[in-house]
Amino acid sequence: MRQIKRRIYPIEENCMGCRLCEVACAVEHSRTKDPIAAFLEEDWEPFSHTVVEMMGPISFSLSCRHCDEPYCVEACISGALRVEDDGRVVVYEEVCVACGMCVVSCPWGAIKPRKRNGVVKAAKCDLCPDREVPACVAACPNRALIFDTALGPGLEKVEEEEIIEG
Amino acid sequence: MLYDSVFVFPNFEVERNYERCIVCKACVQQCTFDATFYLPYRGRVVSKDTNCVGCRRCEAICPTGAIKIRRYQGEFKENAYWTPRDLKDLYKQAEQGGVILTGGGNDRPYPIYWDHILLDACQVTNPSIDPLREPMELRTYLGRKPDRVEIEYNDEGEPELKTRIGPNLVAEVPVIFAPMSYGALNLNMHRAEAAAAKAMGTYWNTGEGGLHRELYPYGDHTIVQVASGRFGVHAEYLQVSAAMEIKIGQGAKPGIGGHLPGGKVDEEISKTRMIPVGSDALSPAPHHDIYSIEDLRQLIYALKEATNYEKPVSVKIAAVHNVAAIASGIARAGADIIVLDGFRGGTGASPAIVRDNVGIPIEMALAAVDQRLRDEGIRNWVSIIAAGGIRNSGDVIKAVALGADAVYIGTAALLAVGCTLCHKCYTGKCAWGITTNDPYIAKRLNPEIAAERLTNLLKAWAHEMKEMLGLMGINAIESLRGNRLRLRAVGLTREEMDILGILPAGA
Amino acid sequence: MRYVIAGNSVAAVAAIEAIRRRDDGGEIVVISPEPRTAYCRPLITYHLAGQVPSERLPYKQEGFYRARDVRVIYGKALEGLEPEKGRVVLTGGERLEYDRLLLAMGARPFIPPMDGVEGPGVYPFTSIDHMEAVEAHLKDWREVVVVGAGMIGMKAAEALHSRGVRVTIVELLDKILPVVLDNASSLWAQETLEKAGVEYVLGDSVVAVERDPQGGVRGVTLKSGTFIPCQGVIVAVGVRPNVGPLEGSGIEVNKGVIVDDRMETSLENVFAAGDLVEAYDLILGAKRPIQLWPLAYRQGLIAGANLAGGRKRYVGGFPINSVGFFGFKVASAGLSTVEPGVEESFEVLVYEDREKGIFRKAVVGNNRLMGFLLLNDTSRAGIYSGLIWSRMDVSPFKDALVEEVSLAEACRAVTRGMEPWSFDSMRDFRRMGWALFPRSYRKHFTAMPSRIEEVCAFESEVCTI
Repeated sequence: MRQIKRRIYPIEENCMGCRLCEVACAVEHSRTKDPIAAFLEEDWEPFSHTVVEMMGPISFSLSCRHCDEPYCVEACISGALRVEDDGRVVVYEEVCVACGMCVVSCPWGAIKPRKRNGVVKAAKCDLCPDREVPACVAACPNRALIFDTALGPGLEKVEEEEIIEG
Repeated sequence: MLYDSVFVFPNFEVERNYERCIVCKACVQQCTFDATFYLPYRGRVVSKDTNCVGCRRCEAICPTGAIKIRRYQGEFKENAYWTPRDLKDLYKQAEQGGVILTGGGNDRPYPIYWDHILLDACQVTNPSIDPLREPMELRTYLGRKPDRVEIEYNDEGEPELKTRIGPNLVAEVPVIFAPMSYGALNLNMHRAEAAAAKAMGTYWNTGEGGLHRELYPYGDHTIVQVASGRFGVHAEYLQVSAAMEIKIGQGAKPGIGGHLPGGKVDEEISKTRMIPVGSDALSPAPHHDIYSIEDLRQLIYALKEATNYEKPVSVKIAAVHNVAAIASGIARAGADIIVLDGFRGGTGASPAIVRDNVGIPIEMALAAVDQRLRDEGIRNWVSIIAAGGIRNSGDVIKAVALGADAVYIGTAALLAVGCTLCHKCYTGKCAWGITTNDPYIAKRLNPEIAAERLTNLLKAWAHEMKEMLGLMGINAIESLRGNRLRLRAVGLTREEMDILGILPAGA
Repeated sequence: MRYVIAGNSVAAVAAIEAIRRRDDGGEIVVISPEPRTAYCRPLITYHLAGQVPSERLPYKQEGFYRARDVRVIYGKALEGLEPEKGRVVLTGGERLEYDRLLLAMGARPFIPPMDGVEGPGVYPFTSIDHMEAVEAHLKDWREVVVVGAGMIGMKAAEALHSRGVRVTIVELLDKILPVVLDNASSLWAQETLEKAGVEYVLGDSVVAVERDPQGGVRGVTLKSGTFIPCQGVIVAVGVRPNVGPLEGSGIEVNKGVIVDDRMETSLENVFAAGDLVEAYDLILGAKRPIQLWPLAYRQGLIAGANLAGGRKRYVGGFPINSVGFFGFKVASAGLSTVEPGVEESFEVLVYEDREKGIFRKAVVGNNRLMGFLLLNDTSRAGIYSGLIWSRMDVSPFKDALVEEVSLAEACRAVTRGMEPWSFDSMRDFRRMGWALFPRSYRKHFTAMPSRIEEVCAFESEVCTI
C-alpha cells in the first residue's frame, strides 16, 4: 500500500528570508484571515507554524515534516497528536493539555505552544486544510517552498525495508 | 537628516501607511541600502529617505501594500537649466571629490529615433498574412554568407551545394541576451539566461567575465566574450562555445575600460575569471594588442585557429561617430558578426558623465553601417547585431528593417527578472538580487523563475514579431532585413531621414 | 498465534498497533491490572487540578480494542511466568498460554521506609486509584506534605495547591527536580515556589508519619527533627520496574528486565517494553531503565513489530522532559544536570537573562550535544533534542547553541544530518520525513523543471531508494 504523503519542502538555495511564509501562515490561522486584521486588530496573537531560520546567507522556512513515525505523537501523553489516514500529523486541540512533551521531542522544533484566548495548546503545521496549496507555499515569492503531493512510500513500504533503522 | 551632510537631498521618499503596516519587517529585511529600519522602542518600521534608491523592492514585497515609494516632494527652486539632478551630482562631487558612478543605460532625454519610425502595413492591393494560419519564419542565420552559391550535379543528376558555407549561428528568434559578465551579474542570472536561451533556441553571451564551469553544458547556446582583460579565456572556454566575441567597446562607456572591485571577486568568480580572490578585475580601455584593423584580424584568426574554424567570430564595438568605416574594416578583418552597441546600452558600472554624454544612437549607427557595407558590396560578409536599448518587439522589427540581422537585449532581460532601473548596479547591493554577488542577496534571484520569465519574454516578442511581419505581408524575417521601404519617419529632419535611409510619412 | 500482552498502558497500546499492522489474524490478549482501558498516567495531576475532565483521561477507548479485535482481561495482573510451559499465571491462579508474550507491566511507585507509612492518608500518585483516593480526602485536607520534588511531586504539589491545600515539599537532595535541574536553575524554581506560596524543605527526608489515635495522619517528622503538621502525605520519590511477578521464571533481570535491541528478553518469545525494561541509553552508552512515556511508546512499537515477525531495532533513547508548574516551564533532555566546570569531559554552555526570564544550558561532550536545559522559553527545545538524536558534531556552531541568535546553523545541521544520503549519524532518519529538497535537484537543471509535478516525480524516485 502506498499512501499519499504530503509535505512542504523548503529549498534553502531559494529562500531569501523575507518571512512572508510566516505572515501567510499567521494570516491563514487567524480568526479573520485578513492580513491587516490578523496582525493589528484581532484578539488572537498572530502565530506562524513555520519558522524561517536565518543565519547569514543561510535561511529556510521550516515547518512540520509530517513524519511517518513522528516523535511528537509518541511523546504526546494525552493522545492529542495523531497521524491521520492521509499521513498528516494533527493536533486535536480539545484534548491537548499543553504538557510540552511534543515541543521538546520534535527534532525540527516544528511544534510550538500557542496561546489563544488565554489557553495554551500545542500548535503545528496543519497543511492548511481549507486551501489547495498551503498558505506559506502560495505566499513564497521565490519558490523556496514546494508542496509535494506525490505518492510517498506508505508505512507498509517502509516497514518492508526496515533492516537497520529503529 | 541628523549626521548626514547638509548637502544631501533625498531622491525618493518612502511613504508608509501605518494603518496597513503589520510590522512583519519584510521590507527591513529586503532593503539592501539601509533605507528601512525597525525601531523596537517605537514598535515601528521607519525609513531614511536619503538612503532610498527607488528600487521599489520593499513596495513589491510588502504583504499589505503599506508602502509607496514616491519622488521626494521637497523641491529646489524651479530652474529650466539647472536640473535637480545637476545640483545633487554637483553637491556630491563637491563633498567627495570623485567621479560619479552609475549603472544601467543612458537615461537622458536624447531623441529616441525608434519612436519617430513607423511601420508599413498591407491594405487591399497586397495581402497581409495571418501568422496563426500560415507559417512564419523567425529563424535567423548569423555569420558570413558566400558571395554567390554554386551548385553541382552528382552522379545521379541531382543538384548539390558546391559552395562551402562558413560557420553560422542559428537563432530561432533574432533576439540574443546581451553580454553581461559573471561578476557584474551573479551566477543565478547566468543560469537563467543560459536556460532561457536553450529553451528558446537562441543564444546568450557571457560578457567578459568568463563562463562558470557549471554552465558548460549550455555551451551550444553560449557566445563567449574575449575582452581587453582576457578574463577567463582559455582553450576549453573557446571550444565549448557556439561563437566567440571580441569586445572592443561598450555603448554605455565607449573608449573606457571596466573595473570589477576586488570585493566582488569571490571564490567562484576568481576561479571563473582566473584571477586571485579579492583582486580588482581591471579591463584596460583598449586591447593592448589591437591598435589597427590588422591587429584585430590577427586576434580574429587566432580565435578561429584555436577552434578549428568551426565557430563564427563576432566583434562588438560601441556606436561612435565613424562607426561605418570601422565596421567596414572589421568585416574586412575577417569577422563573421559585427555587434553595434548604441549609447542607450547599459553597464554594470560607468562614470555617469561618460554614460550620459558619449556615443551615438543605435538607429543611426545601424543604418549607416548597413548602408556602408551595402555600398561596398560586403554586406553578406557579416551579420549585424544591434544592441543598446531595445525595449520591445517593435524596436526589434524596426532594427531589422534598418539592416540588423538580430538584436541583443540586456536591460530588457534584466527588467524581465525584476530590475526596476534604479541604476545602482555598481554598488553590488542590487535589492532584486541581479547585479550582486552577495550570497545573501543573490538568493533572491531564483534561476528557475528567472529562466521562465526570460523564456516568456522571448515567446511573447516572437509572437508579436510574427504578427508585425504578417501585417506587412512578409513571412520570413530574412525578407525584412534592410527593407527600409517599409519604414516611414515622423518628425525627423531631412538629414536624419537621409542617414536612416527612410522616407517621411506620407511619401 | 496468540499474543499475550501483560500490562495495559502506552507500551501495550503501541504494541497492539504494531502487531495489527503486520498480523490481522493473530489473537491478542491484554492483561489489564486496572479495570479500565489504557489511560494517561501523567494526566492524573491535571485531572486533580481540574484541568482535564475524567472523560478525557483514557488514552484509548473501548473502541480501540474492539476495532483491533483485542481481548482485554480487566482487573487481573500477571502474577507469574512459566516460560518452559509457555504460559503466564494471572491473579487468582488462572493460567494463560501464549505464543508470544510482551511484558509491559510498567513500574511500581517506590515507598521509602518510614514509620507509620502504612495506613490511610499516605498515597503514592501514579494511578487513577491513587488520584481518586486523594480526591476523596481532599475536603478534609488543609495541609499536605509531598515527599519528593521530582516531576510527579511537583505536578501533584501544583494540583493540590490549586485546590486550596497548603503544600510542603520535602526533598532528600538539595535541589528541586534533582534529575533535571542543576544548582543555578533550581534557584529559579525555588523562587517560583516561594512566589506561589509553596513551602519546601531541601536536603531532608521524612523518617516518620505521625498519626493520631484514630489512625489519621497528623504530621510528619523529618530527619532533622522538624515536625510538619499535615493531614495527608503524597509519596513521589520515584518508581521501580515492576519485576516482582517475574521472580523464579529465569528471566534475566537487573534493575529492570534486560532486553536486546529488538526488545527481546533472555527468554524465547518473550519481549518486554516500557518502564519495566532496562534498554539502551543513547547518551550513556549503557543499558538502564528510563521511565518515560515517549520511550515506552517507542519500545512498545518496536516490540510489537518484532512480536509479529518484524525486524525493527531500538537505537536507544535518552530522557526527555517537559514540565511546567506555577507558570515555570522546564524543558530538558539528556545530561541536563551537569554543573559548569565540574567535569572536564563536558563543556557546559550557559546563557542566562534574568530580566527576560531566559535560561539556556547546553552540555557538550566529545563535540556532541549530550543534554540541554531550557527554562521558560522552551518553544524551540526540540531542535536540541534533534541534535542529540542525530549525534551530530556541534563544534562548528557550538557558540551559537545557547545564545539568543537563530538556531539556523544548528537546525540546518539537523536537517542536513537527516537527509537520506548523509545519514550515517542518524540511522533513524526515515521516520522523520525527508528534510530539505534532494540535493540532486540542486545540481543544476539541464532540463528545467518548469512544473512542480516534474520535480515531485523526481523527488519520489529519490524517496524510495
